[in-house]
Amino acid sequence: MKIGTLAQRGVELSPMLLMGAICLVALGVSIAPPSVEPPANAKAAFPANRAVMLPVILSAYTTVNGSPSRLLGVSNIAREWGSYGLLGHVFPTTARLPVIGRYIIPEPERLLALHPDALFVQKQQSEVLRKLGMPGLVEVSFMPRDARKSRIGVWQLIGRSTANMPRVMELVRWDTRQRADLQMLLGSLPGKLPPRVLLAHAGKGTWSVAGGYYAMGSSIEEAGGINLAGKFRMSGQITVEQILSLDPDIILLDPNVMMSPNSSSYDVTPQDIYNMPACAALRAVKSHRVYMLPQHSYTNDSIDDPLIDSWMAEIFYPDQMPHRARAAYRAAYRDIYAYALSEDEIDQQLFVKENLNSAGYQRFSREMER
Amino acid sequence: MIFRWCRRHAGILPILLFLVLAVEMVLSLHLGRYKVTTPEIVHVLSQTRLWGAVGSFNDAPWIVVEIIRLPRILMVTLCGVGLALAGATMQGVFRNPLVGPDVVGVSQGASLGGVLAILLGLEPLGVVGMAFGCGLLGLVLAFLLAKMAGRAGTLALILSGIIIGSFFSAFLGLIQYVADPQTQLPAITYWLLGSFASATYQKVLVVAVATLVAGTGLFLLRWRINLFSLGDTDARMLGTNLDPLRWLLITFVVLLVAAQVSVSGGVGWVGLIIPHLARMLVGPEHSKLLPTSAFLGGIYLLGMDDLARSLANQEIPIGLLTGFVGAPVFAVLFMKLQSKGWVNE
Repeated sequence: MKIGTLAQRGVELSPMLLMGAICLVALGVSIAPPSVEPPANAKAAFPANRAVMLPVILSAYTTVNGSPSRLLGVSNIAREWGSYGLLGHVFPTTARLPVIGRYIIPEPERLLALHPDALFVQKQQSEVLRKLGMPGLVEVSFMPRDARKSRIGVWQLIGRSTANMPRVMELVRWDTRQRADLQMLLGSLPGKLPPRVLLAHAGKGTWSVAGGYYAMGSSIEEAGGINLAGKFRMSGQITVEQILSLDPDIILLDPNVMMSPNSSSYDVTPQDIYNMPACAALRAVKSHRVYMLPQHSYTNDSIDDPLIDSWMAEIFYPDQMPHRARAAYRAAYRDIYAYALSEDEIDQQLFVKENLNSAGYQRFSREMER
Repeated sequence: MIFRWCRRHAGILPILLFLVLAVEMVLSLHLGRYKVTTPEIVHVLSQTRLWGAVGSFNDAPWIVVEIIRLPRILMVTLCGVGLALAGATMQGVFRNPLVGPDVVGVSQGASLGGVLAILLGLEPLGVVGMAFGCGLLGLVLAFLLAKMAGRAGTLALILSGIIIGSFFSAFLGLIQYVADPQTQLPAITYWLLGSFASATYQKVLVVAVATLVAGTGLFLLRWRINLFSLGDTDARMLGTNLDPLRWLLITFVVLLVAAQVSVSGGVGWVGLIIPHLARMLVGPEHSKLLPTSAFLGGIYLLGMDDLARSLANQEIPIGLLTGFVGAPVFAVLFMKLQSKGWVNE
């Protein structure tokens, strides 16, 4: 064979060889990954003074730690939710925390560059990061069916990490007392018939309801109601026809929208529901018992949630339960955060303006309290 | 002028592109949020790869180079090579410049498998396996449907692929609908957007095997792919039955696409625009088109991934970036090709 032909054949075959070379190098590298010593300092520091947080538990962190000062950075949605509602007023610095990545896919290089001594992550994130040898992982898990257990679990986790267990004990005692008081009051109601409640997020023409997996569903039960959507395992969209067939006594509109509190505020108010012809036949609409639920944290991990249980009980049993929601908010924020809520802040929290046309909501106004 | 030069030197262009890709891979090792210097990279790689030294999880530059960047760069490169090869083959087989792996239900099948695995809470290897299995299932169903309809040839397969792909997409929507919005839905959404952030050596192995097997197969059949330019009828008149060859080539394509989707989620447009660009550079002859597409695909996707992880404050899902860049680039290429005509190639 002539040299010219061989050279031509070489040029012809070389791309295949080069492509094969890339694959073979990758194969070789991946078949024999680098040997590595087991991580010597894998545990989180105690107490953690340079922590990074990816899950949406910033409200629990500030509640337990008293400030976000020991956090180096948080994920984008942890910051959004941590600075949402009243806690954003109590801890204004949360809105200025550095964002170090998105919620689900962590950026390992960025995390390594920060040299954190503790990294709060959810289970699916921790697997990836553990393989990378990321030190100081603190795995967070939630109990979707039980808001209270989930909340206390997260408080304890943060308390252990920040050496704030006495504070956690104090919070748990407060939470337990709130619950006990509520249960005692509910237990003393003579021959009560639990109202059938639908917790929903109403959009423009769409309804999604809180299924059994949604933590707020357990709050309805705590407050002495029946969660009509509890039989749906998941939260999801339903039609007006389904709502008509369920015909709830009370409809609670959840102002929280999925993933971002800033992407849109609540779309539909109780007045909008009263004005909808398709909803006119609903028992809750006829009796004007549609209410905006007070603002609450994303993972039900702040003190707002026990307060919402009491608020719900007042809504469910307006004639039997004592009028104490405004005072309860004021006292809780004073005792736990040393923060004096203004009347405007309480109005905003309880959606007094939006709910004013609903049955019995005048009792939540500042004028009625006086 | 550059196109004319490329056509004149079509034989050595793939070698030049390979060199560009190699340089880009080395440069990519330097890019990232954690600052690692060239001497540190050289030290880490030489110590681990040449002398077999044992690395340490307490050594941040070692983690960054060996555990984070190297598998990612290899994985992105192989995925780029695979997707471009798949696209070039599909466009040749179907004689249609708008055809991509989505058409025969492979991408949708692989996406469905991956999402199903996330929903079931399977380990990362389970995601890879399910995506791969469902990708293959998509193709098999499309083939069976085409056969049951009693029609042979390109059109029947494309129509079956669209039907199966739509069915899988609906299933995908259903899974997203029932997924837990707090734990599963964000993971599913991010996976569907596509990302190489969770690259591991295990995943590199999956893609490397698929690329080696399918790439070698395609390369060996590079002359035969040209037969499809004749069309089924003309080829049959010349005594060649293209059906077995078509099936074999599409099986290789499935292997490449399912491997990519299973490790990194949906990354669109690469298989569509890169073969177009390659065709402009070296013409439609597949012995030149395939290697040129492969290396261009690697260069393009690695460049996109470098941008995805360094452009903004937070990593951008690469599927979004390839979509944003791909659509306008494709529009320009489309106009250029239309002015010359697809047939003259």
